[in-house]
Amino acid sequence: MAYSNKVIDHYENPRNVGSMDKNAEDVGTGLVGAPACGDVMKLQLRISDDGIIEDAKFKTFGCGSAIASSSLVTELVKGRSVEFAMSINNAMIAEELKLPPVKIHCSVLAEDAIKAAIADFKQKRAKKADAVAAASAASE
Amino acid sequence: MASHRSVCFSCREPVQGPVCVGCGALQPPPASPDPFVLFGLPHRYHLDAADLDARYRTIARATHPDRFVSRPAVDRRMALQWTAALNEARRVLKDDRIRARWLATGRAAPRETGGPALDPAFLAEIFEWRERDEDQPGAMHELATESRHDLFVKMEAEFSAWEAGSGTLDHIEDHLNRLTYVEGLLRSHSEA
Repeated sequence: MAYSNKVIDHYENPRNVGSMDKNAEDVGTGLVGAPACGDVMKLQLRISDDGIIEDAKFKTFGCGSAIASSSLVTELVKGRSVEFAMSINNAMIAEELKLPPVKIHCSVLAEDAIKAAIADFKQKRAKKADAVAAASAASE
Repeated sequence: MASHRSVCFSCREPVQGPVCVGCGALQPPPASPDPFVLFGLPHRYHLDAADLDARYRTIARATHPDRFVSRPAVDRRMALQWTAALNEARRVLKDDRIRARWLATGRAAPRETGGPALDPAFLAEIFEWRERDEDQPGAMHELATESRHDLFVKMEAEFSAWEAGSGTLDHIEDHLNRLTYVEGLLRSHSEA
């Protein structure tokens, strides 16, 4: 199976590799895996108060397509809104990277990782809002 | 061998076993998809492989298509059904993972979608193994091999309790899903 040039490019020069503090309030972390091949993908987003993704980092242990899929999504979402990031789906990733059918699950993994990271961020936000509400209720 | 049918579908005489002693007609395999029923075995994870093979051979010999070449088309069709049913049932029972999943969930294969998600803590653990492997090549293989062993020990214990009449199979599917992951990791890593 031949990888497309885009996959090779992302694989050889992955963008935004790294990690952020998963405990930071403005960081959402998505950790997903593919049971069949043992791949695991960590994707992190730093999101501003007005819902803009200021930074994105990933670390993926997996095949070239999984690395390229996660690298591509970090590039796509940086500087964009959370709403835009939520609209990214695996078909867009697969088409952009010209993934063959046997590698579609790699793009699914990247979509799941983005959604998991945003869900984690929203959960942190909700917890923080609850804590603020509880604190103000207690001070009254 | 358990009798699957009380009356021969062809001559209506009482019948025991796959072939009617009266008219020689091959009976259809049991309608139940339960692989244990086909071999007349109780629902148990612990299974004697040699006994299973012996049961397989006995039924396979009695229902083999070669025995029915000069019989009517219906018998030849039945013989093919027996072959397919026997092979599928043996496939399910022979593999510890598939047999375990069948007993715990009634399915031989994992759910395609909608199944319980893997525990995030487990994924974090896998991620850690892989990070450790970067500094210390071979570390992941060791950790994954250990984890596979642990999962089999846990399943073994759960099935033993269940077979003794105390305990449930509630965690088997989770163990199996983890096992799929760990074995996928070991497989893809040893190929690399």
